[in-house]
Amino acid sequence: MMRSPAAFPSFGREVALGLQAAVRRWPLALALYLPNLVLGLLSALPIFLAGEALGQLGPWTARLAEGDLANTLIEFSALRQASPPAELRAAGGDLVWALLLLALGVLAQGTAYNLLAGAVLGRLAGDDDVTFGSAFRRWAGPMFWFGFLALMVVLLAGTLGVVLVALLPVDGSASLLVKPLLGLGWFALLNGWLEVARASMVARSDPRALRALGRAITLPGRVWLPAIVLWLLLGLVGALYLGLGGSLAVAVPGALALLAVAVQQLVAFAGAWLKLARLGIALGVARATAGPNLATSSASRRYTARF
Amino acid sequence: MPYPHRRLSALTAALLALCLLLSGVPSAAAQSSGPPGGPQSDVASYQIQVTLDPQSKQLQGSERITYRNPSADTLTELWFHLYLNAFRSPDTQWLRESGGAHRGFAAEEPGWIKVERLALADGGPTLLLPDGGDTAETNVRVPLPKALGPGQTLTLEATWTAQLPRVFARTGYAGDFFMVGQWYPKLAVYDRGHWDSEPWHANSEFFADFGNYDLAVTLPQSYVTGASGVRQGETANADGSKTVRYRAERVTDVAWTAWPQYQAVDRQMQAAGQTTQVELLLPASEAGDAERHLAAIRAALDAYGTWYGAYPWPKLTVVVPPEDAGGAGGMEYPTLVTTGSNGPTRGLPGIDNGIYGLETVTVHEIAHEWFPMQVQSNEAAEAWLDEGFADYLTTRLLGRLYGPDRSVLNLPLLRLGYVNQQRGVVGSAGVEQEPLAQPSWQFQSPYTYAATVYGKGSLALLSLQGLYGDERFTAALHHYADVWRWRHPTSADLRDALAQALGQNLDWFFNSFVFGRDVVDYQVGAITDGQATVERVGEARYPVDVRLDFADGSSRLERWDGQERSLALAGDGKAIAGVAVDPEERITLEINRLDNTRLEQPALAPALALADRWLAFVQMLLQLVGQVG
Repeated sequence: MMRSPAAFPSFGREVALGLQAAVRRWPLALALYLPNLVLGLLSALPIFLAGEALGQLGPWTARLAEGDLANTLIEFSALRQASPPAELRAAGGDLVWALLLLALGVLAQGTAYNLLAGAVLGRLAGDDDVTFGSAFRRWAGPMFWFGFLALMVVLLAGTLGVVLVALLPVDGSASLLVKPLLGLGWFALLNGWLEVARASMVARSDPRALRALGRAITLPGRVWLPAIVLWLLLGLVGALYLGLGGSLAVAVPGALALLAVAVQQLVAFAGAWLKLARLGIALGVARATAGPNLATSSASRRYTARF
Repeated sequence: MPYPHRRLSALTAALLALCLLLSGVPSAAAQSSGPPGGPQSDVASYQIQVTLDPQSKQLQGSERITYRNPSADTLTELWFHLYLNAFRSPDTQWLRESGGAHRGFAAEEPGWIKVERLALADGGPTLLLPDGGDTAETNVRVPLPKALGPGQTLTLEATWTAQLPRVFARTGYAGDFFMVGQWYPKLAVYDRGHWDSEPWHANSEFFADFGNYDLAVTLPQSYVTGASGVRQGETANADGSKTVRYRAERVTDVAWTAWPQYQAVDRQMQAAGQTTQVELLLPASEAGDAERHLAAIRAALDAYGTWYGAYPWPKLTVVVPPEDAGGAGGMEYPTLVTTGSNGPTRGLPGIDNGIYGLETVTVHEIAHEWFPMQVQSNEAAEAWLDEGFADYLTTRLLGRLYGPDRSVLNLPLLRLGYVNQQRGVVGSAGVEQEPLAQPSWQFQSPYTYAATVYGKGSLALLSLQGLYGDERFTAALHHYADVWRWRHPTSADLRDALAQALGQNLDWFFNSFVFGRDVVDYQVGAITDGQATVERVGEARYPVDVRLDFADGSSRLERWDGQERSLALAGDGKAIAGVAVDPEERITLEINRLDNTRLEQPALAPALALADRWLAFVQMLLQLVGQVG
């Protein structure tokens, strides 16, 4: 599909260039990884304290750490009719803190990503004259506004998609397979489309978020099909990452705590780099669909010249 | 510690006691005198001819019943079950109690049975039925023209018409599929001085005498059939129909099924030293599940046969109803059981094989071929004696096959054991204090009924097994099965048989959990000055192991009889590092295990590992939802 230069002269090349930029500038993934790590640690601290308290009551912490969730949590169904020990009450309080910090972490992660995404895209675009800090200052505001709009789009379009998928007349085991796949596919398209919209702001040096969304909707017809295929492919890669990465993160026995932490942080960093790659590819798609505006950008010229 | 919100008021307790007394449920005081006489395997025998009309979903039947009075009393009346009348109209007691649904399947079409004629055989006098046989009752009294003395036999003839309902509660039709159970005029049981005259309730199952059955089913030739017993032959009729004959011996009932689209798989199985012919009938669309069913059938026949005596009949038929007849699934009849598939997860790669729903239902229903199909307790009056037993057998077998901690779910990131599932069911239903031996119709809801008789029932037996050990308790239950096979035991009979086999008085157990409302609840108290205290919070005085762990790495195990409210354990000069009550988790009836252990200095590694798992989860989640667009 992407090897049809006659039909799509720049799409495949631009996407490949975007991906190469993500490979070359892999340290940019740290900008996506570090907030994730800090927020995760903040939420994990109360869980450590809960585990410590629960550990005084026997094997429960170890069983939970081994992933034996259902068998262990069922024991907590007895709590409603007995006064729980103080350690359990303490663990419960810690769990509430962890959940609260998790909820705040989601908000903080979203905020951090939207503030940093412009800087990351700016650096990915290849302009060496622009430092990460200056790109951050240039794009933090517009990208934050874009993030808010993107959230609205995801909530509205995502809900609509979920409802439509749920209404599909498919029953039985086929339903359990087809409906989640369709739902995931829909979110993959939505995410890819929003990434291209975000990237187009940097590609065109245009901070208007609404306009970027509109531009992404009106992608040239010749690009739509390869873009959709690309987004679905990226969605599949993301799903594989979540499945394999999640399995890998819990595959190491809890007793080997240091090894488990190391493996899991490698997985998390891989996830951050995957996002970096997606942004690089989105930048490529945005460039492939851009007109004369792009040519006037010095950053774009250098970006193109570099390769 | 008392459970004030569970404690009955004196008035409620008095009313309940009165109800139990009136209902004839055995109490702790009602000691069994042991099995009277020899095995009662030939009390009520039937020769039934039935014709199925697939269009009207009606049965035209006639039967010849031979009944021997098994008691020492002279009988002046008979009682008959007319089960299908439960579905006659929305106003029936059964449908009112059930809310018009059973296990999530709703009643859609009526069912009924009308007895056109009932008479003593060979030209004898006609017997009087209420409303001329066209009654709304599910249990009817029939006066006898002449008293029937102890050991005497009479023969009856009946003709009848039955309308099958759209299947939602075990029996009926779905399109051209038929599962025909509880379908013919059937004698009730006279036992321990009275007839089982209780109408059929929504939570109730069945109770019948043993006998021999000859069944002849006439239906269109395109139908594939299965039935209780062994197929005797098939004849083609002049009108294009066929008649299929079956014979079942020493059974309490017959059921049959017919469907043109069945795929039949026959397999001869060697299990527990016995050869059994197994016939699996399933929809062609589910043929891929056949080997899973057959493996479960083989495992069940072998395990149960080894534990409690070999499967005593030559054939077992296992029926998988089609998808639109789910209400027919999960039911036991003598030598025939209905099971099911994994439903919506069937065939899902990576998921289906880790969900043991198919195996669970299959081995549960086959467990019923021992309890109650051989040891025929009254399923309505004391349902735990069959459902609790079947679930106990299921728990043991699935645990052995797949591991106790993953015998329900065995998925990459989720596992669940059957015992824990039952503990969760009992806990969530709040039935810890429900006596096991109470009539099905007295439970508040189908859920509390199921949670008690299945869940608490199996947990009670597992707890006894934990106390006496697998081998000893298995032998004790085998003894119970041997003594009461082809008879009608009660909970008191079970108590006496187990006590005899174990050489232990089990009144404390039965008075606490079977007839009473006690719960098992122990906890660890304080650890101070080289001494640890464990406490009995619940009323049940259950013998329990207590383990003391010392700082030097050694440990000491003690058995506490639980008679006192607390027990102080001295470290004998050693520093105590921890205390655990029931450290092997053998008392599955323990309602709260979260306070059964206390460690002075718990290791940090599990807490670190748990925090690390959480960190992994949070980081994944943040990547998923915090970096959109």
